Formats: sequence, C-alpha cells, structure tokens
Amino acid sequence: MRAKPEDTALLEGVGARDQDALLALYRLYGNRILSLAYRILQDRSAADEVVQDTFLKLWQRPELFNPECGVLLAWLYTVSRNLALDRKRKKSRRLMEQLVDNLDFRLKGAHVPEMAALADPLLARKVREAMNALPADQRQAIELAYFQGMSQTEISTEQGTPLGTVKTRLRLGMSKLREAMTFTNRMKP
Amino acid sequence: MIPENCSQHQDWELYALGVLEGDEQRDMEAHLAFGCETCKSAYLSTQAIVSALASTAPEVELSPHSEMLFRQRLEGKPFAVLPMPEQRARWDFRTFAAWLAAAACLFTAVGLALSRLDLARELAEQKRVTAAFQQELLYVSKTNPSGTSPPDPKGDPAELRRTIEKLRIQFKAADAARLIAEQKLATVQAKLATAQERVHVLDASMKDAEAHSQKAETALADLQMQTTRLQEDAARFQQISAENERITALLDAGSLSQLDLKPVGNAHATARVYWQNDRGLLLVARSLPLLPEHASFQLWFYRHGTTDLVHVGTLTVGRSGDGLVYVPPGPALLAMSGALVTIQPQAGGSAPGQEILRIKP
Repeated sequence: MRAKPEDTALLEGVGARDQDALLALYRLYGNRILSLAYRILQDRSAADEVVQDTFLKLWQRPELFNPECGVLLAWLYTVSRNLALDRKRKKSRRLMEQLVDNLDFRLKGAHVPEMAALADPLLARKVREAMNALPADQRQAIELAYFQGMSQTEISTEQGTPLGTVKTRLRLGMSKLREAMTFTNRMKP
Repeated sequence: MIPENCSQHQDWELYALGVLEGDEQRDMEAHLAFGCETCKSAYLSTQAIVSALASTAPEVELSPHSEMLFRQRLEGKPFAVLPMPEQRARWDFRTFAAWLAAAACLFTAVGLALSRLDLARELAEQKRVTAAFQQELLYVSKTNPSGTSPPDPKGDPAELRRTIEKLRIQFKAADAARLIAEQKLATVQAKLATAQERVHVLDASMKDAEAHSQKAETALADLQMQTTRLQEDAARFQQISAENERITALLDAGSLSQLDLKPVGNAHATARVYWQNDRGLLLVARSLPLLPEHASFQLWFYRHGTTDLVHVGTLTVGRSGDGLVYVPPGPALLAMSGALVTIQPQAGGSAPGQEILRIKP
C-alpha cells in the first residue's frame, strides 16, 4: 500500500525543504503521535519532545521513508515508539545510535507494513475493541511488549509466570487481534 | 491469510512485537535475511497488527503553542520565552480597573455611611424636637402662656387655642420632616447595600484575576523550564550534528582503507574498520554478544612498533547486536598498527578485558 496522495505531496515539500509542508504533517498527525508517546512515557513534556524529535527526524532524513513502500503514519508511529522507549530507558541518543538504526532502515529495506488500519478509523476501532476483549493476561502481555518495550524475559518477571506461558499468551493475543482485523477487512466493500 | 508454518521458525509474532532476545532474535533476523519467504510474509502481516496497536492509545491533543515551539526548533532560533503581553496588559488593566472601582465604591460607601450618620443625627434631633414640642404642648395645655402655673380653666381660651394650633402646626412640620428624613435614610441604606454588594463582587473578581495571574505565571515557569531543556537539547544536537558531519565526510571519502577484524576464540562477532588518516576511523561490528550489566565494548589501537594498546573509544550497540564507534583523526590513528575490541566490566577500564575482535600488527 502506498502513502496517501496528500501525504505524498507534503512529503515532496519536506524533501524540497518546505517547512510549511512539515508543519502541515505535524498538524495532521501530531495528536496521534503524541497519544502514543504519552501512552508510553506518561509524561506530557517528554511526550511533546518525542513528537518534535519524530518530525525532526523526517525533516533531517526524509529519504528514510519511501512513500512507495507504505503509509507515513506507520513510519511515524515506529520512529516515535523507538524514541519514546529509548527515552524511557534513559539511553542517550548519540548520533551513532541513530546511525545504527538508520543503517537498519537502509539495509533491511525500510519495510513499513501495509497499514490500512492506521488510515481506516473502523479498523482502528476494531483493534481497540479486540484488545479490550482479550483476557487480561494476554492484553497485559501485549501492552507490556508494545507500550513498555519489554522483552519476553522482562514480561515473564513482571507477570510472575514462566517464559513459555508468556510466549503462549502473546501468540494467542496476537492471533485474536489478527482475526479481528481480517474479519473487518472482509467486511469492507 | 497466514501462510503455513515454516519448519524452522514460528516466532514471527514475537519477533514483530520485539520481545525476542539474544540468540533467538539473531536467529530470526538471519532467517529473514536469508530469504525465508514464508516467515517474511507472516512477519510483515504481523507487523501490520503490531503497528495498529499504536492507534489504541487514548487520544491526547497537542497544546496550542506546541506548533510555535516546534517551528522555533525547526528554524534553529534561540528559544525565546513566550511573550504574553496581552495577558499581562489585560491583567494590569483589570487589576487597575478593579482597584479603581473598589476605591470608588469604598468612597461611596463611606460617603453614604456618613450621610446616614448625618441623617440619623438629624432624625434624632427631629425626634427630640418633636418630643420637646409634645412636652411643651402638654405643659401649655396645663399652664398659662407665661408657664408659671397650671392653666386656669378660666384663662383666655382663644389665646390658648392659638397657642395649641401653632404648636400642632409645628409638630406636624416636625413629623413631616421626620418622615422625609426616614425615607432618605431608607434610600441611603439601600444604596449602601448595593455598594457593599458591588464591593463584594469586585473583590471576587480581583481574587479571580489573581488566580488567573498565578496560573499564567505557573505556565510561564513551565515554558521557561521547557525552553531550558530545549536549549540543552539544541546544544547536544549541535554536538551530534558536528559528529555526523565528520562521519559523513569519512564515508564520502574517495578512497577509504578497509580491514576486517577477526573474532577471537569462540566469539561469533564480526567487524570492519573504514578509515582515512585525515578523516578518522569508523568501526562497524555485527552479532556482538549480549553484555552483562554495566559492561561495554571498547576499541583499542596497537601503537606502531610496539605491542602497547591505546584506548580510543566505546562502541554504541543497537538493538540487534550491531555496534559502531567513530575515532576522529589524530595521533592515535596515525600511529595505529592494529585494532582490538574488548569487553570491559566498566567503561574506560585501564587495561583491556576479554578480547573478542582483533587485527594484530
């Protein structure tokens, strides 16, 4: 799935060093990025900084996002999640860390997943409902992984369960989320 | 649709969530990198679901001045404190107006209170006069005009009637004056009550204005703190940018020297150095092992003509076991005849620890 046409036009502006184009994207997606950053950090001022850092990254390295490969919002979510989790772990983001991540993007092809969900409010709502419908331990495991950036070992410690149980919970939870998205996709005309 | 499970891996969901660690993570990365299409397809579809999790975060809105702060950062301007002239002027004007109105009401209230006192005194005087007239009337009705003895029932009745009539008229006039004074007093009391109420309302407005002012000052202090943080970040970012330029200059060099480092012992890591003496050296490492807590990877140079080792930098390690370090141009690079990567229990240890990668002179 390609980037939306309006995003593509604004991204071309960003590539041409048009600040107004970047600010238009900031206004379009800033609230959603802030929502994710705040969910992870639970600190308003830190979340505001993550939002700025995310859009600055796009400004400084627009070539890191390829409009042919995916949806801009998915890329913004990915970058902001990484920034928020790094800040949460209080790692200092030296340039070389950014280089390592940028190398990852370049070397692995900057795969941004096809994400109709992010552009489709109905699908996003379905994911939220599916998350709320999960058993508490499965939902918690997924939230610890995504919003807290915990590894399977850390989740096992947090939940006080064996590693194998954590893996099972994650797989089952993800499977149910996939069903919800697949079903909603089929319902679309 | 999820493809059939690959015989080697089923953990694309866990990999997409980012929960795999160490060897499991590296195995999956290598598996995907070497082109298992089954797992790649499954991974991408799962990554789509993972990304959708971001949209489940409760909605939060950007503050009204966040765009202005971002624009300032974008333009690289020194971060000025947000001016609030309108609020300040409005606060000042409101405060001044409030004080002026309060003073006016106070003067009015004092004036009215004084008038009330005057009127009360006048009323009391009127009552006293009325009482005196009544006493006199009573006395005259009992005595002759000279006032020396009780009236003689056989005295001049016409004179008595005239006197009584005169007194009655004076009494009526005093009573009328008393009524007017009482009405004036009631009016003044009503005005006083209204003025007191206005003072009360203005007092509440002043307190409200003070609360607003305090809120504005708190917001200003918050913004000043944010500004300080942003300035610190800007300084750090400038430092990072300078480093970025040096590394970019190195990678853009026409002819770079390159050498691979060899793993030592059972180490699985690999590394390559790129350098040019006048642009510095960049080491890129892969598959670095997991570090114990507080440990780090250090880069050392062998000094030319000796087996002495000089510590030149600490590797920065990414999520998947990749790492790199940049060494600026200088005497250490000029004298380099080999390189060594070690694991140190603490950053900047004075002697090399466990060796994992090496180019020996």
